[in-house]
Amino acid sequence: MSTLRIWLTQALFIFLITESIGQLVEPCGYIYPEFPVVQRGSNFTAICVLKEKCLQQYYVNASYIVWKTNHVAVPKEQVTVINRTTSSVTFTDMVLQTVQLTCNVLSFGQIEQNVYGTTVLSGFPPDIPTNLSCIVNEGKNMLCHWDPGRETYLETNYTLKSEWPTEKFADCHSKHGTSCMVSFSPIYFVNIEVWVEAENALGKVSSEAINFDPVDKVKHIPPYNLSVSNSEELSSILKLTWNNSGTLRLKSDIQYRTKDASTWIQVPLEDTESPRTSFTVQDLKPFTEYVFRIRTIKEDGKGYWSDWSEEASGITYEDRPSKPPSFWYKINPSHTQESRSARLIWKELPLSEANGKILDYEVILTQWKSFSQNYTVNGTELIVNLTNNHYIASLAARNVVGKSDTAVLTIPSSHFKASHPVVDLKAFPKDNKLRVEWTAPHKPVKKYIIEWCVLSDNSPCVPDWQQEGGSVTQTYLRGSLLESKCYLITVTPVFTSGPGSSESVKAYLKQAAPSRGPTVRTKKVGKNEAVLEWDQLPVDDQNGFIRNYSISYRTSIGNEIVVNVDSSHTEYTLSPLSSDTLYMVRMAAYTDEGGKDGPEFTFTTPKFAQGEIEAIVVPVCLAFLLTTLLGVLFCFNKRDLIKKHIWPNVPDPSKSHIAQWSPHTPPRHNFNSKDQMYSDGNFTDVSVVEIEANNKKPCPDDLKSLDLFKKEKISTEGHSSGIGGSSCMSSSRPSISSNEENESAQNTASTVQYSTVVHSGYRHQVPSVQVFSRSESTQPLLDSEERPEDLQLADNVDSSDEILPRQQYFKQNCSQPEANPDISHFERSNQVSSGSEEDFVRLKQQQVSDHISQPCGSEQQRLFEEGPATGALGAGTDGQVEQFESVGMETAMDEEIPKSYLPQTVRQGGYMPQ
Amino acid sequence: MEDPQADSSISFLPHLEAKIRQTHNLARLLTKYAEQLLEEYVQQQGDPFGMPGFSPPRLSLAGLSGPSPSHAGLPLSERLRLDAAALGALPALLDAVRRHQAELNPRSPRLQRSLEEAARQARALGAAVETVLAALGSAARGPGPEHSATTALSTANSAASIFSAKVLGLQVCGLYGEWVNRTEGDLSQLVHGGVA
Repeated sequence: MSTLRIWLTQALFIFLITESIGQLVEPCGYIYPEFPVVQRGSNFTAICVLKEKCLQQYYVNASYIVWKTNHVAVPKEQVTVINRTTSSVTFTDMVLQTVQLTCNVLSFGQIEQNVYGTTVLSGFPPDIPTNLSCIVNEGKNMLCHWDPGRETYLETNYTLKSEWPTEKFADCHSKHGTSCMVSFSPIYFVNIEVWVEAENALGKVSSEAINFDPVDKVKHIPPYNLSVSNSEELSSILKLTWNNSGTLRLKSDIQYRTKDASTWIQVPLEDTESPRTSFTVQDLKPFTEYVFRIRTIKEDGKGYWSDWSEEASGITYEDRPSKPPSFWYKINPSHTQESRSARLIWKELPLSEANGKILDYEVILTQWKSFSQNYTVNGTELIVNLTNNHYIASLAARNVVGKSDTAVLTIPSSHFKASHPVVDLKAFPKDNKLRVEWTAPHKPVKKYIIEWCVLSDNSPCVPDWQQEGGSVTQTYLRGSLLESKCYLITVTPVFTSGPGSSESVKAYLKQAAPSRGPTVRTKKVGKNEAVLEWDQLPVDDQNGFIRNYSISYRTSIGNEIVVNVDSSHTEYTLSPLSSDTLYMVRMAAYTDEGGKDGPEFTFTTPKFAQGEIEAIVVPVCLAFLLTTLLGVLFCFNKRDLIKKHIWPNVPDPSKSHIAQWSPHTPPRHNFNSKDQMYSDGNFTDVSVVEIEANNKKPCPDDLKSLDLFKKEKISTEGHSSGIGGSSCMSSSRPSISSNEENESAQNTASTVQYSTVVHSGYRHQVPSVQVFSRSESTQPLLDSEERPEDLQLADNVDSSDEILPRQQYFKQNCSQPEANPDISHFERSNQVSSGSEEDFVRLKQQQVSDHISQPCGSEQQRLFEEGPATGALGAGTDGQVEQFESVGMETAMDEEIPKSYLPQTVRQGGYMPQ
Repeated sequence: MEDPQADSSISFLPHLEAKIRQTHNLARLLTKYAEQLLEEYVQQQGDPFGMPGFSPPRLSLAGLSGPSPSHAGLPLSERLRLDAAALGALPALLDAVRRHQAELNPRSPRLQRSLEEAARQARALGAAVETVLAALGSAARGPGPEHSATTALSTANSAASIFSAKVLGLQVCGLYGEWVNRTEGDLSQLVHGGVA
């Protein structure tokens, strides 16, 4: 009961809902036309009519209608309100294929509500179908094609209609719009009329009708059961048989080819015009397999050719070989004096020349003017032992039908000298084959033998060969040639008397880039250049003719430089290069087809060129040695001067003779001590000429005294009395100077001793007490001492000492030991090492010093000061001479004189300045 | 003044000859088809129709009989008119046989299709002969015999047994072959003898 109640409730609910939906889905208006189809490009107008009840329900009228196309409002310019219930919209130039057109109202003035919608289709009416044609595939129904024209963009129905004058056939409705296959079998020899009707929403058109006999539109089934048979009587024919379909009279089209050929040979159509089911093909090659195919068409040529039949093949019967085999021989190089081994070789006949299966070969070997030997060989070579005589070999191939002509080959005697080679031999690739050309020798050639083999470092040259006729001067190599392989091709002309000389040439079927590049290395690396060398690539890696090399080198930061080198070279000098730089070198070998880089190689240029260091060091060393040697020589030559300037002997003041002498104490009691003083024998008399700076010109008196001095010196030369200068300046050393002045001084110093008179204070110090040193010399006085005027002159000079500094003075032991203790010390150390010669000199100096220690007057001192100067000049070095000579040259003396200081030789018997 | 009708006949001759040749080819083709139809029909009817020595009884068909022995002695145009009349009657008979075979051998659609095509071919050949006759100036008899023949076959069908129906069908197929063959012979004479 409850279930029934629930069911009734549900049913009532569904009923009410349905009713309400029915009222809701009822549109408030309609669009007319309801299913519009518009021709593309034309104008289209639609109207929307609202229902009255909706006008009242939603408080709207036609002016509230909003048109939309594809959800986009239509501009108001295209909308027209016809009356309070109707609005229209107009579209010009409809181009869209499909437009969703909706009519909407603004209910209550603002809520847009869809009233009705429709789809506007645009397209074209169908074009008149053209090019209607039909084909009757035998065994099938008729199929007709046509051209429908332009696209309509609308659903268009195409109907193929056909009829006899007395009967209509069922329509053929096309699904594709371009063809249709009728549902009935066509009846031949009865004309049928066919046309196409095309219809869509915008129109209906019919094509022109075609009237034809279906038999003229037939495409027959291809011939079947094609078979081929040969004839033992004729090796050049094959007979074909086949079956045709249907009952119609057909003509055939026969084509054939050899089995390996790709192009077909056409049997003339005139020969197969008449209906037939068999045909005999003639002029075929013996023992050759041929392939055949056939197609048919109606006898009168109307209709369509059938497809080709399945191919059938047959082999013509054998015939005797048409040509003898190619025939050649090879003599074993290791033959003895009496016999030789010959390998007779020949080529298998090609099928086109064998004309059958070759059963065996017949070889006849005839020695010159002797008997013949027959050989039957199944293979293609025969090794025979021959004498050194002349032979003639003949060869013939045999098949089941017969024997070929014979090939004759002359094997000359072992002493035969081959000649007359071919000239201008060339080999090059052409048409993917290797073509060989040559110029025939002047002698008539019977045939040519062309041999070739692959050149390789890894495998021996195994030649292949072929034979060409004597009139041939160009041919292609027959054989499977490989690309990127170097072939050595040899052409040998064969004359009646025997083979001629051979000529060879290298060629590639197709070159390629080398397999690897050359490995470069340095042969010699210099500062600015490097010599690179490399090995020729092995022939297996060349893959072609090496045309050139390219050397690329660069530094780590520099640009790469590429140099092309001719292929004939195996070394190259890179120049200029930077010194002390790392270079990276890579080398590539190029053929006509490209190149290949070798491994990269690096080297570093040295900082110095070879021998450059030696060129610098050796001269420097030589210069140094030379300088040193010159210095040594110079020092050796000037050793006295150097010694005098650098480490002169400094007298030991403690041994000074005058130090023990006092004016208040007569020195006589000291005379005995002389021997003791001189006993050491170590004495070096160093005299110092100290010239004080004087800006003034030398006083004429000075010059006079100098002249006088010079005169005295000259006069001394003339005397042999031995009266010399002051012991202070005289040198006891034998003169090593060559001038006469030295000699004069020497003589004087060795014979005269004087006392020293200290005329002035030491170093501009004026002594408070006149000190006199009395000379104990027994020697006669100098001329100056005997001339009072000279002494007067000296007094005058001395008298001016208080006003003018002395121009020059001679002073024995002028320096104070305290002023140069180092030097004196240095000298002392040197004195120990002085040699015997020096000791001899010093001995004389001691004697001089003894004379000097004798007191003398001031005039005498003046004269004495000049006297030793002469002696010093004679016994001194050149430098001293120069120094002395420059006394009168005040400009040179100004700077030197005040600074000049030479340590005095201090010794026993000298004096200590007070 | 030239006779315009003579000019039109001159230009019409090649077309007529082509039409005669085409009709002749059709008759020759249908002759072969009729033989194949008869073989196929016999094959589909079972024993004893395919047995050697089987001689079916000769039933009479109202409105259509085989060519009489005197047919060859008639004028060519008359023979062609008889041919056209017979070919006009055969399609209805062949359709009747096809309907019977649809009942008797529903699993032999090929035979039914062959019978249907044979009816259409007979109709086409009859129309072609009538066209030739019309071109030659002779009128055909019209479709009268077809109606009577169909009536006769249906009468026979209602009264005879299934065997009798098969025999009637065999006889129709035979008649179809005889008349097609006769028509081919008559047209052959027309082709070789010329239109004139």
